[in-house]
Amino acid sequence: MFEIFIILFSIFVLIAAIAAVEMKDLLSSIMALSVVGFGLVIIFIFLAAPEVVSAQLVIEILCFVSLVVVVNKTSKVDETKLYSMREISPVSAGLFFAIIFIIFGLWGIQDLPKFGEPVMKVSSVYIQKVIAEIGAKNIVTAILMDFRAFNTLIEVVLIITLFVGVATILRKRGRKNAESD
Amino acid sequence: MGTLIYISSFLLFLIGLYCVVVKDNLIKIIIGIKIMGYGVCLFYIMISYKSDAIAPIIIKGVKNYTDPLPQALIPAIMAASFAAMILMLATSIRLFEKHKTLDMSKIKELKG
Repeated sequence: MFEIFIILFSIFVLIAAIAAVEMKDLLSSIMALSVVGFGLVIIFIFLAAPEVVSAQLVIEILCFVSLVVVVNKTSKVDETKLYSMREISPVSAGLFFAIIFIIFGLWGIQDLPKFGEPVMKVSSVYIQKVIAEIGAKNIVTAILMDFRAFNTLIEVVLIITLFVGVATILRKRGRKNAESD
Repeated sequence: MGTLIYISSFLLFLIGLYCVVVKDNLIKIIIGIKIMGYGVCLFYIMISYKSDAIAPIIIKGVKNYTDPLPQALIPAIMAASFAAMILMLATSIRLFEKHKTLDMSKIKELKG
């Protein structure tokens, strides 16, 4: 019963994703992308992942706002034509690799742990240590801030690099051109 | 049912891959990359679910929690895909200022 519920929500998300890919109007396409994100939030709530839900909500809203700002600054309608003659070879190559991906996916899916019975070799040790030694209420936060603290530190470096990169790309004029202009 | 439920995340990834390969508009390509990231996140969360267990927040006396490790890895994926998306958006603003279009086939013809 629970799995059927998850499958129904997944079908809803897949339909929204197809709409986001195929719509001509870019603003409606972005809204369909947000439907995908928030539908995933509902699935994450039912799959018992509260930490991921909060992160996904914040990042989804930031993505929506920045995409709307960019579409407002540039063109609002997707005017590209599909399938001109010289693009048939990359499209067919893409379909070919998609079929190969599906075949190998169905082959490799059988060795995965079953839905509802994860392999918890490392995680069980983490849970025991959190209960016995660390004493944090939230196990995910304990893993992020204590067991994998260096990983989180490098993520912060990633965000700083993001700001530096955006400032470099979007600044009005270069340092050399400033004097000649 | 078993493992077949993971196919939904594979299909989400494949829709994003189709969008990246086929579409010419830059915003559509960015949307495709976002959808691919969503597919990966959905797969990780599905693989961490444990039936008859509670969310990984400690309650006294309970020892049956869902797998917390993939849930700790997901925010890293999200932050990386968000950073990549913002950089692509900034680059597409610059391309639109120079070429007055977001169509990749026209931008390829105009090069030089």
